[in-house]
Amino acid sequence: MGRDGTLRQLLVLTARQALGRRRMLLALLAACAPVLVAAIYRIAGGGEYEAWTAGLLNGLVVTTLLPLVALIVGTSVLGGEVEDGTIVYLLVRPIPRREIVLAKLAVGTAVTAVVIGASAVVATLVSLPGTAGPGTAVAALASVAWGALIYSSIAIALSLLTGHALIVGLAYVYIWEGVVAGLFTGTRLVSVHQYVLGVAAALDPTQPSLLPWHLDLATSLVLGAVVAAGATVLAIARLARFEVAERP
Amino acid sequence: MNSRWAGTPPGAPPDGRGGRGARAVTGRQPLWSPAPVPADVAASPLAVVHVGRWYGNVVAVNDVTFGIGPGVTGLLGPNGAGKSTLMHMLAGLLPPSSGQVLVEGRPAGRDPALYRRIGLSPERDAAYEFLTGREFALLSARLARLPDPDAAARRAIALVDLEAAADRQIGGYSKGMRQRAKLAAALVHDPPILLLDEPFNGMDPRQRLHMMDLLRRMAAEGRVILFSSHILEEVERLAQQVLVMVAGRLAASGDYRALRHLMTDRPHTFLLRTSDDRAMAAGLVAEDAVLGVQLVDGALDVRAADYSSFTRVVAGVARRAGVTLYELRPTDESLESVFAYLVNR
Repeated sequence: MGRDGTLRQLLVLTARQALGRRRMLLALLAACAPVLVAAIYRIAGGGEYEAWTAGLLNGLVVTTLLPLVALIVGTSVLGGEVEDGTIVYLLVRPIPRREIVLAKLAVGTAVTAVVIGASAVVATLVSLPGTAGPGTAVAALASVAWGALIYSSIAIALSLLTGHALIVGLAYVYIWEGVVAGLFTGTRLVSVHQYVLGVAAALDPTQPSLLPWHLDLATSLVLGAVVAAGATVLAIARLARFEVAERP
Repeated sequence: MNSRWAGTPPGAPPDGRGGRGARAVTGRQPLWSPAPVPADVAASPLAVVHVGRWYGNVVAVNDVTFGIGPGVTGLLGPNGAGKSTLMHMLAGLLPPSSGQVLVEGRPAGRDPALYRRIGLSPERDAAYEFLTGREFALLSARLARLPDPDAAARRAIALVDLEAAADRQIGGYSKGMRQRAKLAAALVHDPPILLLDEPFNGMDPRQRLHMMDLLRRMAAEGRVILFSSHILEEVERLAQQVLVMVAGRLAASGDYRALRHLMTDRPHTFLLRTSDDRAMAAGLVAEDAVLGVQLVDGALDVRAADYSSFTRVVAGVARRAGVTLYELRPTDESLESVFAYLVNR
């Protein structure tokens, strides 16, 4: 069996684990919220749909649900195995540690992108009447996928750095991304939230006018890639030095 | 002592105290001791050389040196003795704080390629609950990059006698079945070195016998098998060679029968209930094999020089004193008391 086969095994195993965890139910419930809110607004005939949809996507989806679900899923795909001890069965196999991390990252990203991406697309199509809907939906999907990759890589690295990855991750998202990164122009350059908004603004023609300030596409892609790559390299290095210990 | 099997640990008396191939290791060597590595240890397929492991100021393993060759070796010790820590270090999953762990001459750890040569069954009862036993073996075979993973998984399942439950999810397995599923995963790539951490935990007697037969057969094929246990009888039935760990230190090592003699040939205490305790006590104190007698709570508490000489004379003393023996039992046969003796001698 070649390396492709090994990676496929890791992907299938991780997907079965991720989809079988109770946390997944929480993620799915969270993903329903934007659709529900959009439906209520549309039925109520609130008006100013473009601005309202941009607010829904930026405020609820990108700021809150995307990092939340990425952290929930991302800390469980590898952290769950560390916690329950099954990681040993992967570590005692002749497979490079990077394959384990990359498989976990791929599944974490895919699950988050599908769950939150679907939520964003459906919510956009529900709330935005006329021809603007599909363009905004595609931009929302792409930016959510980009954010899912970056947040998942951070979550996986955290799950190898600390036993309280979810708590630390939530503190980072809501203190750094939610408060500090919004206060100063300089801190926006080191904000995943801004990388996601940068992609959304570049792809969606209605967004630039609605976002008072945003990074351009190239900066969002380059800085986002640096963060994702850095977190992934850190995770691989940590897994290579991972210690399975039963402390006396 | 099989000279290929174990080298002289630091601090061990040069005559291999305990004789007949076993030794109690009594030295409390400082960790910075520049003691040389015995050549026979370094040449063993599994070599542990002056290894220490500590967590903060808690010492889990303290300056342990031994080598393991083909055959079944039992790693015996009470819970918390450092057996699992040692197993994890041998499996390359935990770096030693000091010293070296060598697998076939290469440092264990940070080398995934080494896992083509090692099979590990961990003590922790963790499992992919959603997989069936067969899927778990197949996954292990595929991750081991075997050319025919299906055949390897089938063979491993058959070896551990798990065929009847192979298509049930591991989440519904008994502890004994889980042990066999873990063993199938450890065996699936046919490794020459097997590390089994408490492999008999939770197995019923029939499963235990089957597993012991399997391990004996595998050892006869030339494999290096190290298994840990806190149960003396398991080690007695399976291992030719024994390592005894107590409180993180190697308390004794060598041929099992010699070690067993070392364990029995020590001061023992016995409880005796007789028809006339005073007459029996008077007869016993005259015997060389008896070190002291006390009357405690209506019974005799006898301290004997060693197990065998006391049990040889006790019936004769009773007969000569005209006393009927109602009860005779050793009171310090627990494994902990045996270990304590080995450590303190």
